[in-house]
Amino acid sequence: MVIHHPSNALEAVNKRKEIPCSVYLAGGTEDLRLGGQGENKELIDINGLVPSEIRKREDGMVEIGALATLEDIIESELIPECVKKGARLCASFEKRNSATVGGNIGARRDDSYLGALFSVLDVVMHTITPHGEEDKKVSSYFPTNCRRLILYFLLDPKKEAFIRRFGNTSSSHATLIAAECEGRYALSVKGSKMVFGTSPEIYKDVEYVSDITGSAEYKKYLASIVFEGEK
Amino acid sequence: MDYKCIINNKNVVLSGKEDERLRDVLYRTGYNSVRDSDDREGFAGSDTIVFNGKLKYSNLILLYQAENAVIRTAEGLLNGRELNYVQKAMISAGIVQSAYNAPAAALILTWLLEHKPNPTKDEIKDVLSGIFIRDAGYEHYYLAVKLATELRDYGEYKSEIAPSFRPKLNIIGKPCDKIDGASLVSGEKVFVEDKVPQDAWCLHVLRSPFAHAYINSIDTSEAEKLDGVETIVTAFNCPDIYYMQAGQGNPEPSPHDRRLFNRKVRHVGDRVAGIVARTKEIADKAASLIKVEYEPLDAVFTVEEAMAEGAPLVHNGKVEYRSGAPENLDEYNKGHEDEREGKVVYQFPLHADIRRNLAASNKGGIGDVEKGFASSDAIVEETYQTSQIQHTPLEPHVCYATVEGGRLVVHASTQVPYHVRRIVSWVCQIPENKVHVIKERVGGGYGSKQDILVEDLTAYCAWITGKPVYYRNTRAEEFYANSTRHPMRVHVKMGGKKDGTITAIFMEVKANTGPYGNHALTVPMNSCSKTLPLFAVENMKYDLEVYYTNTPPAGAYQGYGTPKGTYGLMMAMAELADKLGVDYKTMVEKNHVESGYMLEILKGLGEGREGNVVPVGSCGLTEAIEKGCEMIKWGEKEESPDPDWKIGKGFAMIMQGSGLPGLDHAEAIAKLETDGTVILNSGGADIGTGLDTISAKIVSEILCLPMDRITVVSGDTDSCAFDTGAYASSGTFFSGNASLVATKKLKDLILEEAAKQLDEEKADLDVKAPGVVWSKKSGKEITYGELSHTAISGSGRGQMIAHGSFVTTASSVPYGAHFAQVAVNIKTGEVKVQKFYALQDAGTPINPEAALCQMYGAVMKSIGHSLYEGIILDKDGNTLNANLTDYGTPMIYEAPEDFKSVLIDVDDPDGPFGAKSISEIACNGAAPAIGIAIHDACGVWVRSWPMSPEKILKGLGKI
Repeated sequence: MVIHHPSNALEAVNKRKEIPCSVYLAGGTEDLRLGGQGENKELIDINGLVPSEIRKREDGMVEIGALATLEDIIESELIPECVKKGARLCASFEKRNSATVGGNIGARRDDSYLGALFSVLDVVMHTITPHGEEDKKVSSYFPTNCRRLILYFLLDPKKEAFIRRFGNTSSSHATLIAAECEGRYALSVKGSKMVFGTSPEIYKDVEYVSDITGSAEYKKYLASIVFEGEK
Repeated sequence: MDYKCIINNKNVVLSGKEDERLRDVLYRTGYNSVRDSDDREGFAGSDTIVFNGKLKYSNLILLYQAENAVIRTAEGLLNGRELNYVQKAMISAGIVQSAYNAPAAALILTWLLEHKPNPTKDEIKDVLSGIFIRDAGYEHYYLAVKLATELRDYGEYKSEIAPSFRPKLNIIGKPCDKIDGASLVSGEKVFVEDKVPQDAWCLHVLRSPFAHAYINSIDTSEAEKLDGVETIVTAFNCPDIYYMQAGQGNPEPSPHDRRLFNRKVRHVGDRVAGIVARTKEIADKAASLIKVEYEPLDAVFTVEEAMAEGAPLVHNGKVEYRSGAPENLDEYNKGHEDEREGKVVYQFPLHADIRRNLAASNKGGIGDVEKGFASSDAIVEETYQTSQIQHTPLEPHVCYATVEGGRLVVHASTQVPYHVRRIVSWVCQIPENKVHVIKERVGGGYGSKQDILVEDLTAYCAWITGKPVYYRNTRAEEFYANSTRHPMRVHVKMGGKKDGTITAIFMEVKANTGPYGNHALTVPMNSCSKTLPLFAVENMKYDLEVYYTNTPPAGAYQGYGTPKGTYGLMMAMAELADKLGVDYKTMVEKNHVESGYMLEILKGLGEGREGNVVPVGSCGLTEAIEKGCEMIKWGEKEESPDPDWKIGKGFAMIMQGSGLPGLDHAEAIAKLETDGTVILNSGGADIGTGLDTISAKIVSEILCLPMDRITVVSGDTDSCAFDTGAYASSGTFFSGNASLVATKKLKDLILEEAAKQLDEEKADLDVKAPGVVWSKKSGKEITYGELSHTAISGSGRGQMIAHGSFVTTASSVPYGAHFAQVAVNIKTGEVKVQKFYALQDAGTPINPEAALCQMYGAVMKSIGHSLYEGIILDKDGNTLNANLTDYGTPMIYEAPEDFKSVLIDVDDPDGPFGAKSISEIACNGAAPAIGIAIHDACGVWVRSWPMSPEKILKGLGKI
């Protein structure tokens, strides 16, 4: 295993660009786990290069450092309940103590704990690319493969959202996670790309696949009814 | 590289490569409480440490990240050798059982109490959310926290730990700390892996990528050239010895249908080559250099496929019989001379036909079922399918073998040390006196370690190389190359009258034994033999067939076939009650057996032999049903405030056995040591369930000796005498009874010797605490120490040593009833087990707190089997979910909110101090209880495992 230790965020981004077969190493729960995204890849350690604090800004927005852990979110008084609920979808206390918010979004998994939720909450991420720093919405980042490094997230703490998970057990990979906030809808469906839109009908946009978490038919059914009562 | 850090308040330098897992380095450095159950999956939590103040998985931390870190491991909980208050409370609560991750759990709970001195149930649940507990369930963890706070605040426990039984006895039936609890919870070096020296050689197994294929050739020449490769064993150089891996009484009721390596692979993951190398890296490299020429064959994965006309045959070679060969055997074998097929050797007929993939069969019954059906008012006929379940012990299968003094020494994590010795001696072709098996502490077995799955090859490799050889299954291998619960198709036809009387039961079982016939007959037989005898029904018939397929292997699992038979029969009875419009409880009450009922059905239900017809003995079934119905408020409909959630209730009556009467055998040797203490050598195998504590309590009770003056040495084939092993619920009943016999004999010897030394009549003497013989007539006393010292002096009569042997034809059957209340979301199909009450008659529970925990643990497993778990194969036989996350093992959030285990007080005439078995039976009730409750909630009968939301939605017509 090759591990790179860049001295700053820009160096990390450039390294990521240089080495196609590389991933950022944050909390390690995704990169270092068996079958995780870090297997057979070079790791670029970003610990110490990216913020981990959660703080309230003067404009009322909450800034969540990308290296804040899921447990940090749960314990923070600045974080709205719906986001805490999203973080708790990671059912393991030990894992939540390591897994970072940036890592969870950055991995863009199809069962991301926070992807759908941050999308409907209109969360903006402040990132760094080889060309400089820039903001990007989580909802528009998710469908891409870009290698930017997330520095922090900007969240409006006044927003509340609906989030619902379906899975075999609390610790299994989720079959489906649905989120809704102020007319924005998002669905993370196992085996498919996350969909985001302004209608519960977004479930029709998903290409469902059958896998060990359930049949395509089952997933489609769940996606079709999950927003009922939330419209 | 060296990395400085602080571990348990001491400056430490950890050495290794920067990308090594911190877990591995910590373990290597001596922090052996930090274990690995999931190959860095980040699931099981055995690797939990406190890292810079936070609980984290050390498998997911790289060594370089530990530079300047402050680390705490379970070793840091100790003050010298003294346990901390949490560790003590955990032992007292009964949760330190197989205990592979008990030190990690102690660390987690200590951390919790340091941060939240009086945590809520939700806070406890949250902090335990990342640790997988398979043995004791989670329920008594809440009790352990409560006890810990009491010990911390008051210096003693205020809460009741468990109910006490038998007031006239001193220690039997009373909560009492497990004798190996301290060593387990503190993280002592008690498991096989802890015995392995740094210079041990690594055994790696190259496995088949095909579900079914001939091996036409294997070229190991390039691999053998690698430095550090000692030997490579394949089908072309292994002994031509046929055996099977089930640890069963000899002659075994399973076919000998395999060698160490075969010319034909029969499942994905089957053994192709065993490589002994200096390191794992070298072994991996060598494996990649081995060239195997396979000839793939069509495969069968289900019973239906195996039964089909013209189906590919999993075994199609020569058949031999050690006894009872059919007259047409030569004809049967004609044209089946392909040596790649190998052969199948039966010890006695199992009614098999490998030319139809039939591995074993049995049929029988009582009365006239057709007449019974004809006289019924309604009949149900349904099929219930169970899935392939893996045991998932926290310690995977592991073995370390070495050669010492010309003998083979095998350190095993096994339930059956003497069967390991026998099978190893067969495979290595050496006599049993040349094999020494040492059963180390077992980090979870649940039946899977009744099979000799890794000891055969590891021991053989050590024997032929003379090297110390270590083997450990990966977690993935545990799923696809180990053993599993036999998937079964249980077809039940049941007829009944309007008043609820069952007139006839027909049960047809088709079981899938996978590629080899371990327990091919015995496990499936239990689906009938431990279920039909619950029914006081005159007309009952069963027809059992077991098929070979190319799935991962099946074998023993806690409960054997009983959970599956119980699922089919209880579900069918509930369906029949529903059809007849009879209350299910009424139907149960009308049709279950009670003490004295003669069990004619048992005649055909032996383990390949004729069974014993006996009457029902001690039986707490009626009380379990009545009490459970009261607890769950049977007949009262619960309403949810959310209209999407519907609530239902269900229950199932259950039974098991206490060993195998007429087959099992146990021995113990009790010795009075020179200072008056006792060492009991028990052949029994304590697999974490507390069998050694049972033996010690028996000695304590009989000899009035404090527990700390008794040591139990068990499962060591050199120092102990024969015992068939810990399976079929035999531990307490057989091994416990052997300890009882030995101890009673030792007491007799003590009194005899005391009579001589005190110049008294033996009849006037008795023993009293703390280890004193006294005369009821003269009042004279002598301590065991004084007595023993004189007995072994130059002029004495020798050490007092007693040998106890136990066999019986008595059948002490535990009974019980399990109750579930579930909520079903009719919109999403989700199921929540809101309440689960397990009521069981264990006779006298010798360790009541441990007994309760075993019930909780077994029920949690069964909830998992019923709702979440199951191996999933692709069309080629590859296991798609060979890890704990995807497989679906239940964690603390899957535990019922209201979970109670209740011990029904029944005294059994044959068990030691009235004890019967406790653990296996607790696997039997959850599936039918939950299945019946799901139907009560939403009207859907889910007739297959797992009873998933998707199946419920299908039943509701939503998809």
